[in-house]
Amino acid sequence: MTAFTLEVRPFRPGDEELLLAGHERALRSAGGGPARERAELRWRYGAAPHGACVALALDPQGQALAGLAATRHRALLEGSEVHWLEVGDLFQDFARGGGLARAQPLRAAGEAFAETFGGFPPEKHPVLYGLPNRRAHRFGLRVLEWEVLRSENELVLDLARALPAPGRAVAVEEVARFPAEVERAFAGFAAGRGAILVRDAALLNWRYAERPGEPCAKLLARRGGEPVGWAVERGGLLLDWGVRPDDEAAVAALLQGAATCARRGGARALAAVFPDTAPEFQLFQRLGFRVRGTREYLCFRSFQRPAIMSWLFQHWSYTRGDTLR
Amino acid sequence: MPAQYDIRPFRPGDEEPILATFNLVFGENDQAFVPRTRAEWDWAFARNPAGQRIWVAESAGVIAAQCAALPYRVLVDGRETSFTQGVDSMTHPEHRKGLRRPGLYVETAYPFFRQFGGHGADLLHYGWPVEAAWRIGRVFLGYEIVRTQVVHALEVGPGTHALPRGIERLERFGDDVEALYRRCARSWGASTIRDARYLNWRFRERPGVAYHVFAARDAQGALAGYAVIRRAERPFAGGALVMDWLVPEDAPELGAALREACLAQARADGARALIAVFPEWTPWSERFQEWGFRLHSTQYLLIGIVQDPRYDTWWLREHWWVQLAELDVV
Repeated sequence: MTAFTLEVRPFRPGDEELLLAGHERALRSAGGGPARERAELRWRYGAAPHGACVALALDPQGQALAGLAATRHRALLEGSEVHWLEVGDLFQDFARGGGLARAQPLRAAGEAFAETFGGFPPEKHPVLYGLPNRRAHRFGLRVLEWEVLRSENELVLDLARALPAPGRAVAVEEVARFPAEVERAFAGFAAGRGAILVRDAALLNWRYAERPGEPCAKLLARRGGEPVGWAVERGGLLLDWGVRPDDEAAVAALLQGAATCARRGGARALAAVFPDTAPEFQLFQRLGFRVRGTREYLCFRSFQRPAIMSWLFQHWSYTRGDTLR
Repeated sequence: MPAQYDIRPFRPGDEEPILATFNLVFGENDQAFVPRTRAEWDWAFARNPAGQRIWVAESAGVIAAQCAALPYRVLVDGRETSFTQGVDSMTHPEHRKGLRRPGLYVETAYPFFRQFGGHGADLLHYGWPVEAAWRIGRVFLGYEIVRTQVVHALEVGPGTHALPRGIERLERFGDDVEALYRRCARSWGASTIRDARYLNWRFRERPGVAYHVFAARDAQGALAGYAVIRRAERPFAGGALVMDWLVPEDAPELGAALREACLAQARADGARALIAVFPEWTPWSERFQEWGFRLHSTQYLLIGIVQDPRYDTWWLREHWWVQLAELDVV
């Protein structure tokens, strides 16, 4: 039996070192996989506008045998403001221990995480979610009471296809950072959507302006000076999108802008993720996008009604940027 | 006095009590329900060429609960094995409190899975459960989601009722269908074996349902592709369902002719939309979109209990050729 103690608490500076070292040991024991970067962990958890939470199983030397980390996000759930948790990391050093005991540190960390942070607002989080890899998916479903919400598809546009002409009523500008007034566009986009992460300037700038690595193209659409929508593109991926689906001029202008950015970066296609229950799923097909499968399962655990599977499936509106890998 | 239950495999003589419970349970809150006949039950469970999978809980001559499945012969990575589709999960209304949690249905399912599950038995138990059955199955039986199902749909619109040139109606499947299946299955990791015995049972011998089979032949007269279609109000009102599509991926023109045949039949039958189901990875998914079909969300979950550790739901999602043919309710 591997000896360990649990630390379950808000993320604090320096935790990225524990996570990084834990990840590296987990990767070695798993025979490889994509490595984590210190700057990415520091950004994802240390710089998130609403903080982050961790559960760590530490050995007697203080090294993380297993852990789970999640970023807090503002969300609207049937009009009420709450916070959700996006699980971004889950790891276990499977070289330590043997048999069933091997997963014990991760099981304990995962259960303690759910018990500590999952629950009713405002103190706790009614939903945690993420896009686990195959190993984490198996563990999460069998041990941590996660559920699959959706086998994710993406909408892909061949950039050689013609797009609807944008017209002149809506102007799209590429911005270095989103202004605070973007939240007025969000209010229009979020109307009628039962569950959605709040797109305020703090979230959008943290997510797309401050993330280490390849920069994103950030587009803001205005009509008569008033923000009516936004889009974020990087490497042919439409990471974020928010414009009322019935505002055809703004949709056309933003899509044209995102396609231009994607072409400029050398992409031949533009790929977006929307739930198949969201209006954008039909809208984008009408605009020439085609539906293709991905290897992703969006998973979640709910701690409060109405956010059970069938409700979230129908009402949660998200984009690819809600589950950044 | 609490009821006593005999939880055991099916035995001859159970047919009528099973039917009685089935018609009671599934007709309970459904005014459109049409009681199942003995001929329909016999077709599904007594004459299935791949066999029978039924466990029941009996109490004083009444079938109080049932865990049943329809088996299918399948090829998985070139090896023959079997999948089962869970069907007709039920507990008699008077016996729903018959056993404490997990309940009588789950207690009937446990020995079912001990007999038919596990490595070397049925590789996969799958289904398209309603939400209540999904919740019970997830908690007690290990159901996992393979796919949240989307469907391809096209508004039928006005047009001809005539079949395109080169397309014929097939009255029975012949032995040449298996060669066509083997050719198509080369790019599939897992699929139900489409031979004449299975297809004639599925589409030609089922009581009470009219399936239209359209086929094309090559220059030598061998079967080159087929499509099966039926009119149905379920699971989508006003639909004509493409039940089975067996066309080589490198034959888009043949596919287009069969699509036109399906549309002609859908018009003749008064359907509003032609609906098909494809795995995301097949080129047919994209080709149907190029033909104007759009993908739509549904409430249906394709779930599975994978009983061989070499496979999982991720693998099935990316390799399993599954059609509406493998769904009993249509």
